[in-house]
Amino acid sequence: MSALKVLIVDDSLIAVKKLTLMLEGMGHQVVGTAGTGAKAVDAYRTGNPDLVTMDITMPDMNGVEATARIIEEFPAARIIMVTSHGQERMVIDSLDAGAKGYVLKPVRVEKLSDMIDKVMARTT
Amino acid sequence: MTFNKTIIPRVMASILGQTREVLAAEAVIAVDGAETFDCDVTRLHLHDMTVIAGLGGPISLLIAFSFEGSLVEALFNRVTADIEVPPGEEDLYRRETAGEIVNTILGLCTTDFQNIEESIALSPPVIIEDARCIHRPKNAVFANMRIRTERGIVSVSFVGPRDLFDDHLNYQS
Repeated sequence: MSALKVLIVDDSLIAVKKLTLMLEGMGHQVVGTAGTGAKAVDAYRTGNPDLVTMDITMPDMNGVEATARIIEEFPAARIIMVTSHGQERMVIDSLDAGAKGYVLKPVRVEKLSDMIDKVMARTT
Repeated sequence: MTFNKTIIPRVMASILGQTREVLAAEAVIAVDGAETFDCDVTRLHLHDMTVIAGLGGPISLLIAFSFEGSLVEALFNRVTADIEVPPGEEDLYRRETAGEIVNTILGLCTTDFQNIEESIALSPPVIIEDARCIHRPKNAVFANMRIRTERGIVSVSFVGPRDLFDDHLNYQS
């Protein structure tokens, strides 16, 4: 797989740093980060990424709502939820909003890489 | 307002289990044991750093994780071992570490409530330092669990109903 441009949406500094390390280790390029759902929509317009990793619990607009907003404007957007929120209802809400995958924290590089491969294989 | 205090023991059990899992996975810290206190306490004593988050919907609780300094330090050292912490930003990263650990524990706890059809909202964590105790206002329910780890104690306090307080534990009269 060629290098992907990735947008990380997460309000945790630690999570952003760890995800950046993992994604760059896989050969991908982090083109932007956003710490709120509202900023995620703007960052998507600016960065035009191939893939988004999206947290759920964030200030001002949660990740499910931000996913719905991005998909409304960019229907082909590939969004993977990367979250600790494991309630089945929340997984269903995320997929209904247009997310293509769901990875539970704590994130392991193999788990994330596997999900990216699956999402890219389904959507390219 | 939806609040049923009989849910507190279930949330306690879930938090104990997920705390054990997350501390082991993220920081290789073992939980040695835990003790609980009933809902009649009138004030909660806090340790060095406290992270507060709310579980909404049918659970309707504010949950405060209060960490001893030794445990925060151990978590910080483990969690940031593979990332660069800029000089002078160590305290910020300590707070971020505590917040992320609590967010992960509470998020995973929602998997223990799959039978609840309604979505369980989780508020972003708020971190307070140097607070010493919280007094119980009228109508509020307190419960407390002390989790002992090999690197220090984290006291987990349950405060409800959620709607009685803002995200800083200020009482909404």
